[in-house]
Amino acid sequence: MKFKRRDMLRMGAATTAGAVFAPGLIRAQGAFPSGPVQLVVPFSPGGGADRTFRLFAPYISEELGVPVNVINIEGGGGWVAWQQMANWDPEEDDHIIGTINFPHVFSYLDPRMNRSETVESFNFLAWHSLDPCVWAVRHDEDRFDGLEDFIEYVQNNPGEITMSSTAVGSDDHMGIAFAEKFIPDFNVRKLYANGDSKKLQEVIGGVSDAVAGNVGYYSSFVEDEQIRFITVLHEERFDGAPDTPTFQEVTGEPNISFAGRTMCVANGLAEEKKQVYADAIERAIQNEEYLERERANNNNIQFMRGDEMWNKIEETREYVESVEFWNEET
Amino acid sequence: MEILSYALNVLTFSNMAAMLVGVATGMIIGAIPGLSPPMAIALLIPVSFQLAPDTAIILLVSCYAAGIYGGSFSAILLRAPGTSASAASAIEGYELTKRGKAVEAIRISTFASVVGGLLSGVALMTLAPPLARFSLYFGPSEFFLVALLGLTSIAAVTFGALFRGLIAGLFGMLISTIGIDMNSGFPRYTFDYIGFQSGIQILPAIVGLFAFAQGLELCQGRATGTISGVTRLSWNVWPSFAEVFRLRWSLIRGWVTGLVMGIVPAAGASVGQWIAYAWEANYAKPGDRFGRGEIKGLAATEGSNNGVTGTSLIPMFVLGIPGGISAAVIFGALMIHGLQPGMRLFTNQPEVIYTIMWGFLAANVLMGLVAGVVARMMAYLTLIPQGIIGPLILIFSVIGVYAGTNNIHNVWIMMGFGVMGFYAQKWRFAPAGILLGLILGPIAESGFRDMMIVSDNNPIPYIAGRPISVVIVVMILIAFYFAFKPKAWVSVPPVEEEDDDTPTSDK
Repeated sequence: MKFKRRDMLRMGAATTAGAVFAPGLIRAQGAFPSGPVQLVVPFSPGGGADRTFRLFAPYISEELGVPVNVINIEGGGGWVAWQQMANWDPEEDDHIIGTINFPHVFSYLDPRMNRSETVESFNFLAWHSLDPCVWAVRHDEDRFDGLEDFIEYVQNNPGEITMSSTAVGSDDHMGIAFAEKFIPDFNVRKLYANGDSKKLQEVIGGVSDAVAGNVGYYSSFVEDEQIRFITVLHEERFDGAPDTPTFQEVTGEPNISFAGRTMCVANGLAEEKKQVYADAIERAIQNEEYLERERANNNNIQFMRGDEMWNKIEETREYVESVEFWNEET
Repeated sequence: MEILSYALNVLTFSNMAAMLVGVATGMIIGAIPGLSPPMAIALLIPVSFQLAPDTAIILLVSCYAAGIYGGSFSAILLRAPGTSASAASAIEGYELTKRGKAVEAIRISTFASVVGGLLSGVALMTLAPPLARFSLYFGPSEFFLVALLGLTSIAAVTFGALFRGLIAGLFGMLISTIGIDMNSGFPRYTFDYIGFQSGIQILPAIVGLFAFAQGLELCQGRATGTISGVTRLSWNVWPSFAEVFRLRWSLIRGWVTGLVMGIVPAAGASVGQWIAYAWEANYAKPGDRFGRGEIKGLAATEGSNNGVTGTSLIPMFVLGIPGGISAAVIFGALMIHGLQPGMRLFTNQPEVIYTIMWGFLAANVLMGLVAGVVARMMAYLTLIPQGIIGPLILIFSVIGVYAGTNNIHNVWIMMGFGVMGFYAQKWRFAPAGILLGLILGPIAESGFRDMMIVSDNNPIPYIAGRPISVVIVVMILIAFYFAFKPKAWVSVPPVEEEDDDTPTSDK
């Protein structure tokens, strides 16, 4: 009996040790990065950000020559992880890359959140992908054909149309809030969700009349003839939905909303180390095999660095400030 | 039967190997409190890149089924459920363990889970398209009412202390309101604490209420005593026909609940087990030992939580709408492998989709075989002195929650729930009631608010116009009748008192 107990404990210790040390595939000294790199996703497994970066990780790993492990640091609507990223130590935390979602991170502009960090608190590496917002209706919807009819219908039938959207402060919600602010007499009832499943369930099941989502995720439902797009909230017609007119094209109002994903490192990280990461990402993003997988995933890769990236961040900030969603519902 | 022709595809070396890896990973990660099946699946995704699409997805669905099952080990043996799907099994399962019937409990759990998984897999294979269409009939009123129905099962987990159970349930619902309100963006009861902003997550709450509280409980007892008090374990790791036949109605009720609840988006997997348990308790006869180790209750909860596994994948495969987190992770993997979920998957690539489904069935069988081998080894956990196993549970709860979410705030929240669970159990405020309130509160709230919006604040005619809503209302009324009906099994002495049969090894 005693022997068995000891055996059990030994097994337990071995398992624990294995779990802790297994990822330590250490590389030769001197090279950077010298060991595994962590890629922090601030949301739970299964979400859009998690899927994107789990797909990307092996390709960065190939370029860096070390394993890249995705870890999910959840909570605070992304802020548990983002707060850490803003405070990473450039020496100790040099083997870790963060990911930041736009416009999500601008939730700090909402005064109710009492946040001290801003976009300037992060050391951005590159912009990775951009998925424009899109509005869709059931495939067999016959009350309206395109965005023009839809807006007209909403204006003529106050309180009748319900739209499904992700929670207040999301890119989807901001697209609707922008329309309600700048298109006269455009007011819809809104059903909120924390993810796309509930929204799609509502619009396909006939509970709501339209849904605000992202081109990438929703394209397969269009191909499956469950829904059809009526407008895309992008500067110009989008490659992923070339037949869908932009919001601006139809109404003249620049309603440009999207889910964007960027990557960052510790503030003050040595310039040469940052360069290693940025170059690896740039090369990985051009890997044909990777791009093919992303295409299968309907994900729109849009690589940006330096000024180009910062201009995009600025534009996004201006858009969020123009919508001022925190004043809308109260 | 075209479907049958794909069965042999499963028997390739790579598919079988994938299944074994999936089952082993799922069972281990599922059994550790704090590490959940979605996480196990996500960990396997990079591995799956190198594999053929059908092999890759077989790996993931095997891991999913085994993860749900693996959670039951720790629930039954240690009252430390490894997943939210196995929380209900902790109630009767652990009581059975305490009475020295650990191996019996596990063999019934295995049988119920394997057959539940198989039935669910058959439903997935044969009825997917119509069941997916059925899932689309679920709207705001149905979600609200399903949550209410789930809440009625609080009555079954209170064992006579109904009033305290209701307080526990309401308290759970109250704390479920913590976090940023999605309809206004307003932070509710967050006190500017970042750990509260996304609300209380279910995982740390479950680990706290059950595992951590249990660790505290064991640390309080005699250090050299063991959970079961027995020194020998039964060798009967396979259930006998007579045993299964005796439990047939409980098993069937569990499986049916699981199969049906699996189709209910979002709510299904975590709520089904409680409804199955309550249903079972409502059929209790004098002499049954609900709350003190009733194998019928365990058969029902275990049948339902694996009965969910196959049908919960239906909306994901057919409509592309994942009904839960595990399904969402698998959905992502399908996309990565160029398999776009939806009806076209069935028409364009039947060989892939049906191979996956056969793989799911085979994985359930494999899971049963593996379980038969490891069940008795696992049961040795109950022979370890409390002075060792108690602190180990506390340590694993902390490590599990931190490793599962990488969020230190969740560790604090878990510990808070641990202390709460410890006293709730002591004073009979039904920790399961707190959990039910916490799980169902947000579903009820968003269902209610959405229902008020789409019905123009006129919910009654809206509900009356939706057949599924009406059916659920009837079920709620029946559940209420049973909740307040005097119960045969409540007349027996309350939980703390020693019962007649002294712990023995199970023959």
